[in-house]
Amino acid sequence: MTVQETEITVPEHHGLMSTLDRSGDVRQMWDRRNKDEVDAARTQFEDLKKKGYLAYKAEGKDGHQGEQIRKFDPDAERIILVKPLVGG
Amino acid sequence: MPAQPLNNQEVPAGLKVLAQQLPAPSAETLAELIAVQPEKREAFDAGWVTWNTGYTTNISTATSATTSAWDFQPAWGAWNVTFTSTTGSTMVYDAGSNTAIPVGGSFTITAPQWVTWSADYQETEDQRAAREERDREVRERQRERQAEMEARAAEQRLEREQAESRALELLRSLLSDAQWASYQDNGWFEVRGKSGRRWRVRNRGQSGNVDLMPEIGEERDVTYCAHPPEHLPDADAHAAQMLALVTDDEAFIRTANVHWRRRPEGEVPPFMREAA
Repeated sequence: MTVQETEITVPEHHGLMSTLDRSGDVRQMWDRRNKDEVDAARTQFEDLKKKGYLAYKAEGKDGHQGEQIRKFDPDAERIILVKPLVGG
Repeated sequence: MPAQPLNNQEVPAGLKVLAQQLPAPSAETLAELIAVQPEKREAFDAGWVTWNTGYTTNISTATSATTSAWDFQPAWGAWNVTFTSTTGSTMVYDAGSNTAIPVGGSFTITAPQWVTWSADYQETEDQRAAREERDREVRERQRERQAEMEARAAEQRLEREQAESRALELLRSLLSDAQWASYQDNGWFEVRGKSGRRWRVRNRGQSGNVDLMPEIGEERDVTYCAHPPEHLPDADAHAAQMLALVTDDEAFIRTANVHWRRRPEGEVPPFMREAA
């Protein structure tokens, strides 16, 4: 398997929220210093939580970190939202 | 022989097939049919559809050859199926009673009249040209539909590829370099669950692809199946599985179904116990 090495980068002072869906994921970035952007991201987060999505906060990329969160954290570097797993 | 402006495209398929299996009608038979109701000749010439629409019958009396008194009720289909031509008889139209009367000879049923009569019809040049034009239009529409379907399929393929690419990008952003290398080279990556268990997420679809591994060794203990409910790209599902494991693998176990479990060493399967 060969995959193009494109990186998801989060600029300084920014947070990135990824909602997993059939398109891959929908990404929303906010600038922690911009209240409007933070509010928009929080609204999006809360809407998705109401729809039953689980939210994970991820920092760095060591593949072992992750924390489930229930409230929007504007200081998070990455937030990933996904519907709860179901038994297959 | 009347003009033959029948538009074959309008003949029901079943009747056309049947008509092809029947002998062509004689000129006498056609003349008889025209004689039944001469004032309908114009409609007759305009085509069997018109002609039949104009014709009417009463089935109950139409089947009686001896009384020969049928009223004309709107039912061309029934009339044609029910009525049969006669061999050696002549049908005459009685304008006074508005009935057709077969006279002379024996009344021998041969074949449904309309079908026999229709069998002799041929399309005219104009009709052929019109039919070919319609066929061309149909083929053109089919080509357009085919092109639309192919374009839609190509678009969907592109969307899938883009989604898979984005999903891989996201998974890559969550995995360490070693995990990513294993995912690419071996088709799996391993994570430590919150409980400390060793888990292996295999890149083999997203169902039954999560193995609980022993602390040492490469043989799995259990294979679990739990995945996102929507059909996400595989790499997204693997990211979701990884996040579920590292944050709460106990919950993952409660949710997942067991696909496979290694039998403890020395344990004899039930079906072998009785034999032993």
